[in-house]
Amino acid sequence: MGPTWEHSIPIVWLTDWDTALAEARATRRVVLIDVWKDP
Amino acid sequence: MTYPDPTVAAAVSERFVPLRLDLFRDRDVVRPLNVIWTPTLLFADRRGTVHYRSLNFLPPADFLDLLDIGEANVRLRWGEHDRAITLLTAVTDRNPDAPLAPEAIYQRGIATYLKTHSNQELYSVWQGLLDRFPDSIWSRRIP
Repeated sequence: MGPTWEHSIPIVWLTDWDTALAEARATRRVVLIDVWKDP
Repeated sequence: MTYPDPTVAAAVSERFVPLRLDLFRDRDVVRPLNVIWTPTLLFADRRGTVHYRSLNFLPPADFLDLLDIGEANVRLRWGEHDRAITLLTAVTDRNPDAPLAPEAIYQRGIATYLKTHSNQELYSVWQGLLDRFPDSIWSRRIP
């Protein structure tokens, strides 16, 4: 059996600001924003 | 890496709206967020107002604590005091000696005060912080 993370369900990241806020309003969830840069 | 950890991935997917922005490609959206370093993690409300931020990643156990503290900071702005207190308590319940425990306790004091408007309740929580982590920078913030 490999490392446990291999069995993890990957996070589905949104990439559009307005879509994320609409989703947050609909679900009352907090928006977790990961600002990164393409290596 | 932190995100492949199954507990972290589940917490992010189930409790948050995950949004990934590129510092350069999404420049117009990112600029108002005042980000100068990557990765930067921001916790924002449904209007896009950021209430908590953190630089770089942390090991999974610490990252779970960060998620609780970040979410609690947003919930507090929504007046969800009980939820915030529950999140901040979870940090020390998981590991009383966690690196982020002092911050969680400090902020639990604030959440408790915002809920009760009681100085006695506030300092009851903060006294616990002073007793357990007397040398923490968070203890030094107690007036």
